[in-house]
Amino acid sequence: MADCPFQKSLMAFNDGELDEQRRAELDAHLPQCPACSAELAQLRALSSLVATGLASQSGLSQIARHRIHARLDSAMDEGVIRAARIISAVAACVLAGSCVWLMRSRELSAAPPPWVEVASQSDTSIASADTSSPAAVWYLASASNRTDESP
Amino acid sequence: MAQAARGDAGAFHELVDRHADRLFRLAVSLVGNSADAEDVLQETLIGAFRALSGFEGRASVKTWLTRILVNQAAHFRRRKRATGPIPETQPATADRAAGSEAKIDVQAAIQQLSPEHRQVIVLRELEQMSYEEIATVLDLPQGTVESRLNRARTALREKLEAYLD
Repeated sequence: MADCPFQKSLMAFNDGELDEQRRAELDAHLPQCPACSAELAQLRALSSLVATGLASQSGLSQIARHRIHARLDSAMDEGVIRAARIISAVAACVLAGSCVWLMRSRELSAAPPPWVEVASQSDTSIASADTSSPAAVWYLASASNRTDESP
Repeated sequence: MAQAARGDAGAFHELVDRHADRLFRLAVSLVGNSADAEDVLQETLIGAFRALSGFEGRASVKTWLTRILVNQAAHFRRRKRATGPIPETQPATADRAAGSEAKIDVQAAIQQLSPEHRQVIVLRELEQMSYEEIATVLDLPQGTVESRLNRARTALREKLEAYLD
């Protein structure tokens, strides 16, 4: 038996895992080899015993089935609640951001526009300008001439 | 499955009903008793529901669910071992009365196997999975599956010798 080249293939043969050619070879070999036949019979008996033993375990009771469905329902609800929390958090962030933006834009609209400030600074600088400088005298004189010439 | 993946709760409950009995027997075989098996099954189904959107359909639904359950059962046993030794499981009295001695001894012998050997023998003999399917579920090379199965059967033959003569 130990020397039989087919020995290592017996388990795969029993499990239906051999390709067609190897299976045909073993089918032809088995009637001529009592050791392989006996080993295969043992493997089959073991598979049958184990499969029967495992399959005989009782299935899921109705009460257990009901418990599992109820637990699944609450897990599904948890998912919905989690999604609702995330959406609420995002909405709250958007709302808070909008409030801040609105407040800042109001503050900006209450202050005078920047060009008004610039204009007032220009007026001040004109008023306080030194009119005695030669350039200023020339500018004022030419401006006065322009005014006189105009109709 | 497609409806369940789109979040249809009713479709997922139907999916559960189709696979619950098979998965429960598998869980009992892996963890050794009905109470723990129910917990494992519950965690498996909740995990499957949460992972539904990630199901790509490369494996069958059966293989996908089996893979989640086998991982949950292994995680459960590790967690239980961390909190104390796992007591040797004995079938309930009602089971004893209903089942033959051979069936009880088979279940006890399977629980005495190492977790790796128990997984392959249960997937092969209870689920009737091919070596390729077992390799997919356990994420192992097919050769490893075959050698583990061989060792598991050798161990079982020694334990169940009395029933094989």
